[in-house]
Amino acid sequence: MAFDKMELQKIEVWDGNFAAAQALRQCQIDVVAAYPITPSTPIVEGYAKFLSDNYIEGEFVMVESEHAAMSGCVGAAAAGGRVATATSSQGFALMVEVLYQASGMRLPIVLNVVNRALAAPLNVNGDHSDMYLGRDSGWIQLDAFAPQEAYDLNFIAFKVAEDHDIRLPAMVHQDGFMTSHTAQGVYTLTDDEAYGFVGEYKPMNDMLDFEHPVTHGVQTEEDWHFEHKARQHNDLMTKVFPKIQAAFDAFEKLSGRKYNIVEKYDMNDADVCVVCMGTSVETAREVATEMREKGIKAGVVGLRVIRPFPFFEIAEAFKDVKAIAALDRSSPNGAPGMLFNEIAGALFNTDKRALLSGYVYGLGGRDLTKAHLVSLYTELQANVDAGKVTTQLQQFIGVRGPKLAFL
Amino acid sequence: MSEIKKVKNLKEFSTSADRFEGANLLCPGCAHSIIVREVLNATNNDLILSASTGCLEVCSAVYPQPSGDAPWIHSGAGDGSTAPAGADAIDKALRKQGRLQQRAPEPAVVSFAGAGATYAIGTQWISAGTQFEVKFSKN
Repeated sequence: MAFDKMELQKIEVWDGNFAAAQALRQCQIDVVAAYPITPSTPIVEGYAKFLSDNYIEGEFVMVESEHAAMSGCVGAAAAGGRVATATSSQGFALMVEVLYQASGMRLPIVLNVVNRALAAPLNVNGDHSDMYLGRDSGWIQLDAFAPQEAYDLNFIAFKVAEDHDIRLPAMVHQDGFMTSHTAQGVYTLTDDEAYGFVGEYKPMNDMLDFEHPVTHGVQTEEDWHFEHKARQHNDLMTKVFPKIQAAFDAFEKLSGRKYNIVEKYDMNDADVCVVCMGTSVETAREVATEMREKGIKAGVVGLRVIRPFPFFEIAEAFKDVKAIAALDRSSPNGAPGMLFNEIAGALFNTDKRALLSGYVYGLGGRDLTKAHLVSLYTELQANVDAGKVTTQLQQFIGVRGPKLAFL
Repeated sequence: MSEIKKVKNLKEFSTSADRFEGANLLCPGCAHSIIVREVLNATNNDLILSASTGCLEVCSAVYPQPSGDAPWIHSGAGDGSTAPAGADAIDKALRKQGRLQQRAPEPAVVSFAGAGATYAIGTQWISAGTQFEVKFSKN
């Protein structure tokens, strides 16, 4: 091939955006169709720069909106090539119609979602509103807590999505600014190691196979629509986790970095624990360690895979714990939070049901401080001591004004 | 375009191997199928076809018996042109990489759209396509 390879240091100082852009380069993406939006723009800018500097042989399609960006990706993936893009927030919301097209057409696109709040009021900072908006779209959703993981999970995403038994698109989430614009040490793979891991793209029903013409995006009414949707759900429920686990295992062998579908921290003997996503996981781990010094046996569960939802892994992770706090970084707007509901669902039919309370935090980039988590863990311990939830089931953390609690 | 196509008379038309088949669900007498067939007959190149959501699409891309005898894609109402532009980009990329040499000449990309997909919901693409000098179709 006629592109240049890049010599990387063993450890590079990258933010989450550049880490993702480097992963796209190393996977040799054939087409990126993209429209810029804060804070994800540097990912597709990075791809464009690598392309113009001859580090990639591909095509960058400049489109007029995020809706068109995902449409371009759909067409490119249907034509038969490795395809990726990135977006955030309002752009993600505009893409939603086409997200369902991509997954329904079984096209293995990788979308880097740099999580950001949804307007109104307009806000460019990180929360998980866009991530939650995509959770019924039929995509695989992987969550990075730090730049290293934003880099690594892109390789995992391509490996799983493009597998011919899967053929589903995948999102790699990272927190806007906290991960995307925070530079940290990132352990790299060499170009050959990375490309060797994801492998050459293998087309399936590609439009460029003119000898075998195919129709993508067909019309089905009550006669076939349900069967197609059921099959997609079936594959998400039964086939994706084994492939993700296999990809995690292979990646550990290659890099020494171990990933789990549910990331447990100090959970073996924990009485109280926090479950959350994104950068908050690292903050919670630090506070959990400090709580143990104070005599509270604290643990943390981070969701590495959001969709498909790790129902049994969640039940397993919480089997010995006494009180759980589910932290949702998206306004549920009239309901318990998504994590609260889904964890409740996973635990409801088990023998040991821990005390579960929900917390809404960090909307629009509001900090989740260590002090917040200290009082949260203390509250959970009080629940354990009382044998019941002593607060209301849903509380808001870090919001100004009188304390907000519901249910 | 490699050669000028012979214009067929009606009798020849009835027996020709068209890339848009007569088996579709369009209303009897509807001109859509005639127009599409004539447009596709204008080239011998390989074709990448697309249609926006609409009559033509819901009547000719019905699972499991679509009418196109050429690669065909439908994504939505406003992106009948963006999706094949992505397919065209893959063609360009794979050609650059030398992975498609055996498939010369380049395919013709044809997108069928009505008022909704051009003037109303798809106006943005027409504007962007002009700005970024995208070839809407070529043969």
